[in-house]
Amino acid sequence: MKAAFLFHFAQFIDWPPEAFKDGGSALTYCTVGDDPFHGALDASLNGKTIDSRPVRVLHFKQTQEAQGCQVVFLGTAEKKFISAALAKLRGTPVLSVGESENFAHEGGMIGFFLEDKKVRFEINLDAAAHAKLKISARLLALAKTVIGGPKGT
Amino acid sequence: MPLIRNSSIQRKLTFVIVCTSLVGLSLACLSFELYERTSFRAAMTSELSALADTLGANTAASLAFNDRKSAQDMLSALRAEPHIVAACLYESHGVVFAEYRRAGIAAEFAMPPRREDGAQFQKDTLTLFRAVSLGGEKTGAIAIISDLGALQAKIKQYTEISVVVILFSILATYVVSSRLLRLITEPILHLAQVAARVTAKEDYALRALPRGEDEVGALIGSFNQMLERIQERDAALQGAKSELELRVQARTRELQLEVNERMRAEEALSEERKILRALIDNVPDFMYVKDLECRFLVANLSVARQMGAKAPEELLGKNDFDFYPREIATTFYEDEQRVIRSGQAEVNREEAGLDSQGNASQIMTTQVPLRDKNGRVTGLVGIGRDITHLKKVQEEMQNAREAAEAASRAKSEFLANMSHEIRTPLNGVMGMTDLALETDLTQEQREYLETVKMSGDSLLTVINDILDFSKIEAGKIDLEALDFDLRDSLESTLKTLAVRADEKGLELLCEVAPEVPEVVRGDSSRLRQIVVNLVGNAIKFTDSGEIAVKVQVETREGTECVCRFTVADTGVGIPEDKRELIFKPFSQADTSTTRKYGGTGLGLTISTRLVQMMRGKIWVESELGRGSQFHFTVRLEAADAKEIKLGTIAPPELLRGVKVLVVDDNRTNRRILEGMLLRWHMKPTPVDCAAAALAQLSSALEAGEPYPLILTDMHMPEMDGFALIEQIRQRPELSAATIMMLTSAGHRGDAARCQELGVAAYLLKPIRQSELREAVARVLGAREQEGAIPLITRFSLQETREPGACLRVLLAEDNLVNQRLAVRLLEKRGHRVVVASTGLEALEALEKESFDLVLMDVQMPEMDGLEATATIREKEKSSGLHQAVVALTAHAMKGDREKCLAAGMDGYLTKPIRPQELDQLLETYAARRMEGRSVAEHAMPKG
Repeated sequence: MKAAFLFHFAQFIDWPPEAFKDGGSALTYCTVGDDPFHGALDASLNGKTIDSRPVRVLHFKQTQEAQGCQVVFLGTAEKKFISAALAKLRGTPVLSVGESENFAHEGGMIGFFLEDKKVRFEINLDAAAHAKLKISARLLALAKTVIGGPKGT
Repeated sequence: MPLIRNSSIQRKLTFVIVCTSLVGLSLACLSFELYERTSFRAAMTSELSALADTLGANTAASLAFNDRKSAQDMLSALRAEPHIVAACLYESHGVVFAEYRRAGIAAEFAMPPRREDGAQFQKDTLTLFRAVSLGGEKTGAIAIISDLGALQAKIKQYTEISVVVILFSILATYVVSSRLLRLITEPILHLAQVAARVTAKEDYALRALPRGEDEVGALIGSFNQMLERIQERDAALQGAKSELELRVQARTRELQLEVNERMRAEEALSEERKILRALIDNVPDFMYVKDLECRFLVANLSVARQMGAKAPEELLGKNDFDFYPREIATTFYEDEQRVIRSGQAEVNREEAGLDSQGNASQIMTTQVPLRDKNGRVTGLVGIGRDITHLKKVQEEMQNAREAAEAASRAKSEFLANMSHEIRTPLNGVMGMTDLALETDLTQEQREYLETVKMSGDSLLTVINDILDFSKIEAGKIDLEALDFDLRDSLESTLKTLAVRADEKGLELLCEVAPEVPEVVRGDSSRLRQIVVNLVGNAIKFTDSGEIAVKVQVETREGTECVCRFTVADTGVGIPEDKRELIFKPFSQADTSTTRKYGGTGLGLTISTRLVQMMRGKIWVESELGRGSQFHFTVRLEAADAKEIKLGTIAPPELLRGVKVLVVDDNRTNRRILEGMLLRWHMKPTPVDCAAAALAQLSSALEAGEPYPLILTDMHMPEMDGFALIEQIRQRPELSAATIMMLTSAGHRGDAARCQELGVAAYLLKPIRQSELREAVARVLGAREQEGAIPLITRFSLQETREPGACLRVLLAEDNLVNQRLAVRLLEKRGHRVVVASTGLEALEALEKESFDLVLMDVQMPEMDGLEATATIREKEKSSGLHQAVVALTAHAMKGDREKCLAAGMDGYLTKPIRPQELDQLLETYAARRMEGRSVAEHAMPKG
């Protein structure tokens, strides 16, 4: 589910051109730390395209390695880690997605959480804006909470 | 439709225009509407598509993030669109993700299952499916269902407007067209009006006013032209009509006349018909007309009566089957049908019929087919006559005739028998008497026998006359038509009478005029009979003088000539009152005549009948005391002068130009002799007495042309023949001539005296031409050769004529007396006779030896003469010879001669045999034997 979300997120987000090497380079999803999806993300994303960019999934251990990615997913395990990660990623055109509590509040751009057994997410628009990522209103509309932005909570 | 058809042009046109406009406008409106509808629908579709797309895009995220609520929220935004009935968001698998239903729509309203992208218009919804895609991928679909309210409203609106517009247009069209149509309709209506008026008033002077030059104008023009033509024609018609009327009047007058005439003719016809009807009704014969089926068309009263109807009308239409029994009617019907079918009339057909009472009758019917003017048979016309009575009468007549014929036959037989029965014994009597007379008799015996002979002769004459008369009365006499030499016949006839004439010292002369044909066709024996009768009478009633027989031609028509015979005598004459009477039977001039003169009184009657049969007349001229001339005329046909003279052996050159002195006191005789001699081209000089003769002789001698021949009569006054001859002999210079003496009667001793005097020939008068000629010729011929000239007498002539004239004669005769008689006669004449008593014996005899002549008695036992002759002739067919057979018969009946000739006999002698006839016959055959002439040319005497 989250994988699909991840995919779909990318569909609603525009990266600045410097995020990519070139026009046809891939849109990379990266995980830092242990793969929370355990390969499911690979499975579901590989081969697809977004905006005519092929999607690939990379797994890193360190955050610094993930700078070339467009989407970084931070698993819940490393809370501290997350903050450090986020601090590193701040300002880079990387969409940070996590599932930890208050991920979005901590500076993460999109944070999954469960509500009534349903997967919901929060979006930190400021962070996105800071990273020069445009997030479609539509996505915003779907988010439970939007931090920052004109709409802001 | 009729309503429209019958309404005015104006209305029609208006209607047309309105209709057209209506249709046009409607079509236009409809098209526009359709177009609008379509475009509206398209618009709707695209609208909805856009909406769907929008929604899709918007809800893609919701869908991607499985945010049902947000999706639903977004969908509910569709509330703004009242037309949208429902919307539905599908996941990629077609599962409904989010829905929207318009307020008021029942919750049961089912969302349509996921379909292909596209719009689908249903009854009142439009369902649009669009795919939702995220990032180029289809993540789901969105369906929006909209109702068609807008569309429908639009359409409704549009329709309303259309209607209004149409209505207005129509109205406007109507109004405008009404106005404008006038342009067209006015002229038409005008035309119609004028036409109507023209028709109503029949005024062809009216015209329509032309308006414009379009088709209607042209029509008006034509119309006017037509009217004009009509007017003209009317005028012409009127003219013709008047003329016609005049003609009709004239014709009517004519017809009237004709009708009158016809009525008159019909009246006349009717009258005629009445007359005809009366006529045919009153005719006793049956008259009727029948049609092809033999039904009566016309019938007269007689027919009606015959059929048992009351009036002819009852018969019409019926046929014979309605009146007669079937068999008879069938016969009639078939007869009539035959006439009809063959088209041939049947005339006088005798048929059996029935009258109304059912009695049988004989009817003579004539039926003629009736033809129409084309010649086809349409029926028949019949005429019938009841001949029952006639037939009966005919039958009776037939019976009567048969009876009469039977009676006649009986008469004939009687006559035949009588003839035979009487003649046979008489023959015997006469024959025997003749024979007796030829023997030596005492004077007394001779006297007696001569009396017997005379009586016998008389008796025979009487019997012959009676038989002849009976025959004539019984009509059993037929005249022959055979050729014979008239002169010869006459001369030989007279010869037989010469004796009697001479006995009374009468001269018997014969003179035949040169024009009289030599050979004629007729009955020589009957002619002879008449001559014999008349001359016999003449001799009887003349005591002294002469009897002259003359023959002249009275008229000649082609080959037929009427000869007049005259027997003139110098006898007692006949008183005037008796001249008619003597020709009647059994009468004589003087009843005492019978005593004085003898005779039956039948002779003249028979002669009269015979003359009548020869289509001549007989009459007498007489003067009492001076004499009588009996004349009779006969019609004879001149026949070809075939050579029937016999026995002339003298060549004509011998006689030609020889001078002859003829001495005879009788003028007639002189004429006769002169005539004969001239015929033979001699030169006769007649003198009437011995003295004149002497004078002639002298003068001839002086002239140097002495007479080589002298012909002198014996009996002459003053100096008779003998005296003359003596005188001549005394003058030697005259006696060189040859002298012939003619005398009326041969006395004994004359011959010797002639011989003494050196007379060359001594002949009896009347002399036959042929005899004289022969004698003259012989005398002259003999003169050529010197030597004793034998005296030529009649007998010697005979003898010289028949040198070795011994004929071999077969006599077939059963009667002994007749046999002996015939034999004697023949032997006396020096012929040889063989006797046969029956036909068979005769045939046997003929087998053994040949005969010159057969005398065949007709009636013999075993085989009669006819049969024997027939047998002979049969036999001769192969040998080609011809035996001369002459019949001897006591019959002298008509038909006997034919029978004999038919059997093949050459001639015919009646019994009792007259020596003279026998002599003639024998002469003939002897001469013939000499000359070798054919038998058929000679006509045999009948007797």
